[in-house]
Amino acid sequence: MNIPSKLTCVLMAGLVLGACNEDDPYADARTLSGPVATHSALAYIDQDRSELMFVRPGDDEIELAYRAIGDDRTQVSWMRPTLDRDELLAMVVPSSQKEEDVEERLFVFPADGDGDARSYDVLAPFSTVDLSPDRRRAVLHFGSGTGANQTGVLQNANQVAIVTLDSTEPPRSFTLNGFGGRLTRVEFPGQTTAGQPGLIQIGDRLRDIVAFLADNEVVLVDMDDAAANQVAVNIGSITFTPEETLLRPANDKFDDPVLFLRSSSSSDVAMLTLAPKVDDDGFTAQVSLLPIGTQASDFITHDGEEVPYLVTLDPSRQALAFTDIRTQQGFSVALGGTASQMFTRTHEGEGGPMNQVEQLVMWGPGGSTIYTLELDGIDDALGRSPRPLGIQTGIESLVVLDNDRALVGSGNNLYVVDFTVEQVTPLSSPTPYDATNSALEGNLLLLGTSAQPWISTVDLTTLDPESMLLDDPISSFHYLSAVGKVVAVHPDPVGHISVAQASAPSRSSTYAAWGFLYADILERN
Amino acid sequence: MTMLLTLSCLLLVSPPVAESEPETPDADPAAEQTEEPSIDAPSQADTAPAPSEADEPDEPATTDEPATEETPDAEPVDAEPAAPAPKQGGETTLVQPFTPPLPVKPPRPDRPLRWRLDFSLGVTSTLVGDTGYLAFSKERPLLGPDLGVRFDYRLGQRLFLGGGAYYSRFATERDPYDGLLSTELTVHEPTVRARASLMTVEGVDVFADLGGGPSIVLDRISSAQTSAKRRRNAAGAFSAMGGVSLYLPKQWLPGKQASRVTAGLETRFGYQFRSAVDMSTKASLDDEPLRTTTADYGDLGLRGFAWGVSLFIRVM
Repeated sequence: MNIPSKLTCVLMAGLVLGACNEDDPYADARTLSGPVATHSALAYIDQDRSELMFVRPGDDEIELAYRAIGDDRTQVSWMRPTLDRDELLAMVVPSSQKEEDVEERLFVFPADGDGDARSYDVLAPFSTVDLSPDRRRAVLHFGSGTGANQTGVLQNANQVAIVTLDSTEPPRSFTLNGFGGRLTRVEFPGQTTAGQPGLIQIGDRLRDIVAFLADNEVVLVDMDDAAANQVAVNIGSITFTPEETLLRPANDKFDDPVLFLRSSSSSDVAMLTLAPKVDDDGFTAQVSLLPIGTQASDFITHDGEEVPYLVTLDPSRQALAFTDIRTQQGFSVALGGTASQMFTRTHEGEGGPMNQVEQLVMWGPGGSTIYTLELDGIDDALGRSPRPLGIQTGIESLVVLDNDRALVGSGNNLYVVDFTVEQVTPLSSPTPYDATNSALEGNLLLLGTSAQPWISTVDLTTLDPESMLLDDPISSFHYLSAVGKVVAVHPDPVGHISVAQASAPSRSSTYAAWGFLYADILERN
Repeated sequence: MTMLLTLSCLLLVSPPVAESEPETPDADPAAEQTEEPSIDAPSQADTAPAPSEADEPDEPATTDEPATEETPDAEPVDAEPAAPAPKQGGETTLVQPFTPPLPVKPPRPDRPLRWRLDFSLGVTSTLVGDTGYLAFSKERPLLGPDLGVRFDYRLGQRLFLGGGAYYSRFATERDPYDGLLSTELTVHEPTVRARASLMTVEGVDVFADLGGGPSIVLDRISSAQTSAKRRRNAAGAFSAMGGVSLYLPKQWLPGKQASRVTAGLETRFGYQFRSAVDMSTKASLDDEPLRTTTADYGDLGLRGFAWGVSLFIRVM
């Protein structure tokens, strides 16, 4: 072989070697999901890198933080913020059913990703979490529905784990000792105020009760006392699917704490009277059915001057039913319109600011009226009727902003309802607004609805609306209360957000960040 | 590339067919001697009794050319002799016929090899070690055309020193992440190189060169939904290369030692360093957009093992 031929061979070999490609990190699309908003950052899951990406909006630019979670044998199955959005929960499960000896763990990250994460071995790849309103606990379970188990793996549908988030103790894992029904819902009946403990006194013990609802049955567990028994209650032979719980603490009008269970398909409310067990340190429940008419779409308890009432809303009769829980006697108040949901607020009575009375607010999707009814002296006020507040274009959704105000969504219209002066102010726009994509920064109502490019504000003191046009339509809207920012996420898979000051959104102070989901791709490959 | 290599090999392995072809004068020997008087070059010009400038100071080339062309056909030796002149007075005088001297083409003077001027065209490639480069190309070689001109001067029996100016251009694009992104990368690279060549035998040089210059990197990283502007970055490029230069020696050329032009093939290997460039990009937005910050995609260093091959024409 002469010299040119040898050279040619060498060159060709170099070309071939150079063309040989190793694993190509840029061939396939990355598996990114999110965002989930905490009070100070947006979090994305990066399954390929086994990490969470925290996007922290600053005044002029965003800051990115990456936190490892799991490894290449695991994946993040879900994440969600805590109720106060102070922390972020992320569930790590095996990435494939072929992976063995991989522990399912629940990770808890600080809201901005800055700091160490805690993790808990939870024994099973739970698909659902319910958080207690007192912000202390997370209850993991497999949820409900036929699609809950899509892995093909044998699962115990009634296996649960209670994680105490302010402790590093191992979670409490157990199987519900029920009657065969599949767990459908988890409720914390004693915890009615966010951030406050909701202990129930049963006998001489304070208990933190969680209720596991299933068809025709409920299982009660004391989260504070692992030694206490599970209280499983079979509602009876009737078809009763519990949907909601309501706890009435014991007082001078009724001596024992009572847990009510509501079912939309039943004309009765189940009434579970809680009492301590005689033979051991546990507690028990005695069930009875309280007839409330034809249907109960929502319920509250209210103590009259002498009578402990259960107040139920009956949409079929368009009436409010007051039932004495001792005698099962009662009366009804006609609404004259559609209402299926209600909440209570305190209202200034006739005696001035010192006379705060409880007021019931009722509304329903599809209706066109919000009803208010003051509950003081209701059992003596025969003929008292609810006061209507008209929503001209109908009610699609209602968001309670604070004790005095609510926001009603209705197509291209929004209504700000001020209950103190019974004022309804319509705000209209060419595009539909979603009242659920809203936030309240002081007296400033912030609105950012999907599929339109506006961030709007309403000063609730003057009801003066203003709108700011973004460069792109919004796919999701987030309020980061800890940093005073609102973030509009735009539909671009490489990451595109607009960050505005929550207190005064304006184009001059708003900036956009683009491409951040693929930052550092040339170095972190 | 393959065609280039094939042409190069054909050029090198082809026999010196020029010898069998009719010789065609291509230059003015007198002018050559005027331009390059032989002083110390170790060529036959020093030893052979070649006509000097003083001997034939004004011999115009135009006077030789017809003679040279007619020589093969004229055949003066076979020409019929002139008829004797009629005798006057009964006496005859033998007159010798005048035979003009055969036109002799003066041998072209050998040309000493004292300097070389090369014009090259080829390809050059860097096997980029930075994995980030795969975001712009499915393969690691950064391949592009290479143009250059260089000059070197003979400093000794075998050593030549010189340098040159070159221009290379590289361009690549890709749609990484299953088409989610669209990337473009173009590099313009004017460089200067210093070069030392050792002529092992005439026709085979080994050489080493050191080069440097700016590397102008144009990049664009767009998403499927948002296009980006092309950004320009400047980096420094430095190379250390060595290789072999194969060219037609004078013996193979028609003009032998008097030849002025040859051609050859050059291959080189070495390391190409380019300083890293920041590959952040800028979104292309509508009028009066919000102030937009864009992602920093990281640094990219287009460096690694390099090779090149080029054809060149040499004037010497």
